[in-house]
Amino acid sequence: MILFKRAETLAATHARTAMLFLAPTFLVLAAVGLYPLSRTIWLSFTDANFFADDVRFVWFDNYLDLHANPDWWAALYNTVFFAVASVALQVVLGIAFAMVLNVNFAGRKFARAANLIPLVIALTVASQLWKWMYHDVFGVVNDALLRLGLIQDPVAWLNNPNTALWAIIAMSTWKFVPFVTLLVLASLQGIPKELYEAAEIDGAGPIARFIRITLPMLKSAIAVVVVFRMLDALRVFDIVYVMTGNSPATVTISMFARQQMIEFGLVGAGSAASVEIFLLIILGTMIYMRMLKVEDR
Amino acid sequence: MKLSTFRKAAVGVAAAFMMTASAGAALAQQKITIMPGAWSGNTIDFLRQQIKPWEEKNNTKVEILNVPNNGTEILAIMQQNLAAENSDIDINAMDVVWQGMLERYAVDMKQFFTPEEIAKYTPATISLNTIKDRLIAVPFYGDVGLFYYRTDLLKKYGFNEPPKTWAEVKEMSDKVQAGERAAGNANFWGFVYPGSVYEGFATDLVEWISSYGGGTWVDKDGNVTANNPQSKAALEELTSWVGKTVPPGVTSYIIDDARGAFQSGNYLFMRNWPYAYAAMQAEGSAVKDKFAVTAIPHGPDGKSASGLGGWQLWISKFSKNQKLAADLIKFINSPENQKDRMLKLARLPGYPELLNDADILKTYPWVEMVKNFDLVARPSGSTGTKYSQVSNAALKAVNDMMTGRAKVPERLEQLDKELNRIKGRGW
Repeated sequence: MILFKRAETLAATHARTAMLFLAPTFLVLAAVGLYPLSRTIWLSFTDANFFADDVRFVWFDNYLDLHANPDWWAALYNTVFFAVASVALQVVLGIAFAMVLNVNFAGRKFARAANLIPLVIALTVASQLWKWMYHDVFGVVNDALLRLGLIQDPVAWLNNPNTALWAIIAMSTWKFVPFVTLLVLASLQGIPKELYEAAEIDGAGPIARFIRITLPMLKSAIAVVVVFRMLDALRVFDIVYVMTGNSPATVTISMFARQQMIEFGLVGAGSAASVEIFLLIILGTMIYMRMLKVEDR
Repeated sequence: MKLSTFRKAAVGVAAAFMMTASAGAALAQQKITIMPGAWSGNTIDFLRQQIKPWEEKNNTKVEILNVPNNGTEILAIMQQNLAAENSDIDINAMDVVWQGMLERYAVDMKQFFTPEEIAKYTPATISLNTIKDRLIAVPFYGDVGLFYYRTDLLKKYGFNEPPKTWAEVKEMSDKVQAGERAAGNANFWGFVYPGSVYEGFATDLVEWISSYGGGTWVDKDGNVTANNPQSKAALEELTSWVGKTVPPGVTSYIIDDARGAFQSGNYLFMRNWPYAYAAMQAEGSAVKDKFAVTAIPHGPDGKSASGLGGWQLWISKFSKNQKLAADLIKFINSPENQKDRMLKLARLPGYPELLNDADILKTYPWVEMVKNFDLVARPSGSTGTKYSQVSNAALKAVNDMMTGRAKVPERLEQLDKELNRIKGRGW
């Protein structure tokens, strides 16, 4: 009895100590996360702007205006399209690259190092580089395709609304395939060789081995990669802003929110857009959590 | 005796302290920070050289901030700083359309400038910068839309005069472009301008539609006038040139991209500001002495009008050195400095009397012509704090027309609705 009581006090002490150690983290999180977030939510219900000091509470007006604005829906479409297409390409190519790099061949070390180059180039720098590569007159992309006879006339990749978003998706794919490759490769190396040997003895071909062994063993790594990349892609700003600026064919939701707030000075309206972006990301995170839970079982 | 030695020592120490302190005061410089608008690289170095004597005379360090060469970006940076009540930037620049948006952050220049000093500037610009009886800014330099053309190529293809109408621009472009391409220059185009979705292009747009008699999107009384037959005709014609006479890439060009393109020698016409003239006359330029400027062409029902541009300098109300900042602005705008900026960089002086200066007229023969230009202003006066939204809505609409995402009549109708939505209960 006494022992039990003592254990309880010990647990309580432990809990108190834990809280003490966690307190600084909570405080920092509250300062850099909770405060800005709650302030943004509060601002989204006001008509705060750069041009007047008195702020009025306007309830859901900013949200109603946002939903009545066709530009918001166009930006949302662009963002989701970009996220789905670029992440799908990145994952498929990333797995393929990882499979190749997992095989022993001469120069494998070099190939692995080279694979990482896009990752180490700063995103804005890479975007600017690609912008020049896509240039309609001096661009290397047009030059190469013309020489290969694949196109007749130079294409203004970033100006033509039919190609602009795809051109940006291509750039994002180039940039983030190495990230997927890296994570998948690590997971690939953890698959026991015995599984493949056993499958081979049972007469499974390479395709069957990939579908029955490799993919199931990679499932959790792929789930993490997809959600990670997805959350990043949904808030894309820099790549698009550098490559096509405010061009309406490629505006994303983050750019929309920034324009409302910074360019137009409409802090309330911009905050409402930010809150909706936040909710979208939260939704993504919840799906992510659920996926991880499934993996745990 | 002992005590007196002690006292002497104390006095000595105190004196030493005071000397150090006063020496420190002499060394401690004041600082003024200036963000001179769309200036970067070479032009910032030029300004730094101009300011140097003032720095020495006033024992003040002047920091010049390097910002993007793009008006839309500059406004965004400035609004962020001002909303945060940042006192670090003393002197800001202002495009000729931002008065309504920035007025509340500016100090009244009348407290630092005498009426005689103010009277030296172009009266129209001073009245533009006077809001609610406060002079919120003084001109830094002026800008007017110029139409650049290649003298050598027009002559080569048998045209003796630069174009006066858009129809002539098209005719000449077609002929020269076909000829130059046949001669082996596959990258030759007729016309280039800064067609990106940014403030620099907004001036071109009002030039286009007003040159057809189609107004300026919103009229002086604040009525939305975007959707009218003349503006429709202007946009139908001029946006149809993209991909034919105008390279499809212009929808991402800002002014200096257009200048670079024209300077490469592969373009017949360009719409740009005066600064491009000085840049393209520099040593090593492929088009040196091969180009000239004329008025903006016009459509069948309209008359030529040059877009009014230009930058002002103003003092932030959060600045802690307002008087010193005003003194620096006076120095920057001394007649000698204004003249020098015109001669070397083609930035039009704010003093109209300098436009009669013999050296300036000799270097830029077109100044005489520019004095008689009809000017058209972007609709910032009537739209006030909502001007950015108005301008962005128009830019997006024209971008959709240029890239073929939308047909001109429907998009123009949509723009009209959008402008009325932005207007709401009033500007």
